[in-house]
Amino acid sequence: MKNKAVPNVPPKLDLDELMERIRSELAKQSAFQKHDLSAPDMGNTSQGFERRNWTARELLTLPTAEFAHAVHFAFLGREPTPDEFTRLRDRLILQHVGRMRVLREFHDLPEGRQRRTHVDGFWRESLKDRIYWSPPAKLGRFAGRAIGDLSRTPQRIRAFVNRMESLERGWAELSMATATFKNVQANTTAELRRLQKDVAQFRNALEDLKRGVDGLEVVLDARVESLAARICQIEELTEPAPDSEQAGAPDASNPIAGSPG
Amino acid sequence: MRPRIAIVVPLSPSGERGGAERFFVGLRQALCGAGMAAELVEVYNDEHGFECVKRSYLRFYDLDLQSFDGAISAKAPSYAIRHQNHICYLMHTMRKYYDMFDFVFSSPSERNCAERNLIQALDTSALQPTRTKRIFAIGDEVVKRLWRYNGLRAHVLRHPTSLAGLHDGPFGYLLLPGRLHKWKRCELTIEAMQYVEAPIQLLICGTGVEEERLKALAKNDGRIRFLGHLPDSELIAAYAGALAVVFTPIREDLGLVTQEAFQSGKPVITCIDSGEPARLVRDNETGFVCRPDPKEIAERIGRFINHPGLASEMGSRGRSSIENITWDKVASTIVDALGFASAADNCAQ
Repeated sequence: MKNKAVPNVPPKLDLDELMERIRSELAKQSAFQKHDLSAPDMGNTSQGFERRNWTARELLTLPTAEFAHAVHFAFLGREPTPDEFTRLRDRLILQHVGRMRVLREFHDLPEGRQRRTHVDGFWRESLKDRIYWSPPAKLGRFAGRAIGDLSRTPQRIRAFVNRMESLERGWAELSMATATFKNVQANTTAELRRLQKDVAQFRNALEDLKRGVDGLEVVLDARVESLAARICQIEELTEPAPDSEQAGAPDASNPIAGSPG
Repeated sequence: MRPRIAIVVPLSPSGERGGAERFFVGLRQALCGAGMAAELVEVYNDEHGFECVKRSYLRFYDLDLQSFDGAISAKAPSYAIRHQNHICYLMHTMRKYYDMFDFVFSSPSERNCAERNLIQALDTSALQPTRTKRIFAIGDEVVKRLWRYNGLRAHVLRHPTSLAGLHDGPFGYLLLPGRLHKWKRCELTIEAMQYVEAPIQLLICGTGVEEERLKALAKNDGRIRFLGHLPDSELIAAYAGALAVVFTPIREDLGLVTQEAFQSGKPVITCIDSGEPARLVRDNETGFVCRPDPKEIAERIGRFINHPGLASEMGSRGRSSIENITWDKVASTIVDALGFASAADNCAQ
């Protein structure tokens, strides 16, 4: 029988009850965040987006995915379809379309116009954006940067000189370190050479010793041989003369005994 | 007029599309083939943080699907939808609040436990027979998990891969396809290669959070190559040229890799705790099921290298073993469960 074990089942609760509990928890949290100016509501469910009266400034500060959702609620009063969401998100992320441009597009949509939706601060942000990107403003920013650059020139020259001086100091320290390193290297090389010389001498001594041992071995061999010869001679001399009557007569009854071996 | 069926799809905030999205497309095509007017209803789903998870549950709960004749949910939290003709074809719940809880939260706080309890309670209540007419699951592993944690019964309904055009080919190298995620335990195979002396290559396809760690682990072995994400055509070619596929995840829900390997006529080496792959692979017949130990995996790899005909024989048997897993069967079972007559039934009448 399969699955006999008693399962670890969570207490049975009604889904409607659970969902309403979650909904009220999230609503409380949203309300709390709404009153806390330092923590703007960044809710990303349809509820969070729907309930909020978005201002243009808030929309512009949202992360990309949240912006793509919120802008639909703000201007069209509805959640984006998955296609709309994906398309808008891709335009923002992949094509780097500006957010203010998106806001303007949504503002001009017939669907939004029909609903007469209103986003606080839209015109102000739009105007700011247009002014910011207008040719005089761009020229002004360019001129400002140029003047700023010019005014900072003496300071930069000083910084450059300081940097050069510190580089020079660095170079001198590096040269000293290199010289020290070279000295150490030369000492090490000399030490190595001495060591090699000692090794060679030791090898020579070892060779001499080997030769000496070989010579001694030859001498000892000759000596051993001569001693062996001497022992033989002594043995021959000390052997008794054979007694032919006792040992030499073969037994006539045994034909094998006494035959030459 | 064809019945309208909504397949409710949780849409990832990153827009990332993977195996699950392939499953939804395959299911839609199968249902359309069975005479239904099936549509994918994609709903934004964010799981970055528990507040977002709760909001996602609410979003699915609030979804208005009354214009449809039937609704199918598959992934958490889409089964929180409300429809009088709702069936769930469960891929998986949020596993980090289930069997992977201890794996993800090594020292869980009270808050983590409370979150886990809430998710399990939500899932259990959403999948009650009063709300969900029938629960199918993609494999035994999911059925077992649903019974253990939620006390709910489900029926196994395996679906085939939607990767079309898989074919056999030469038997050249070892293949390890899939996401490079901790739960896939790719390091087992990389470590096993230390015990394989033959000059056989291990090709690892896919990307993931574990990529850098695995590359560092494999850096001293020139036989291991990381191919990154492969388009479908190249993945099919990679399967076709493999000697065997090594797939050793931990408690995998389905692991289409096994089916894809079998369809390419390749045997699979998997582990006894790999979940559904360990059920699909018959040890010594369609591949090897061994302990999650690099030495044992290496030994099985060695058998394929030393006996050239073995991989081909096992691969053929593997292909035969999954012949009965078809989208047609999936579609007709689901259409029956929804209470509609499929196109085939209509033709028969």
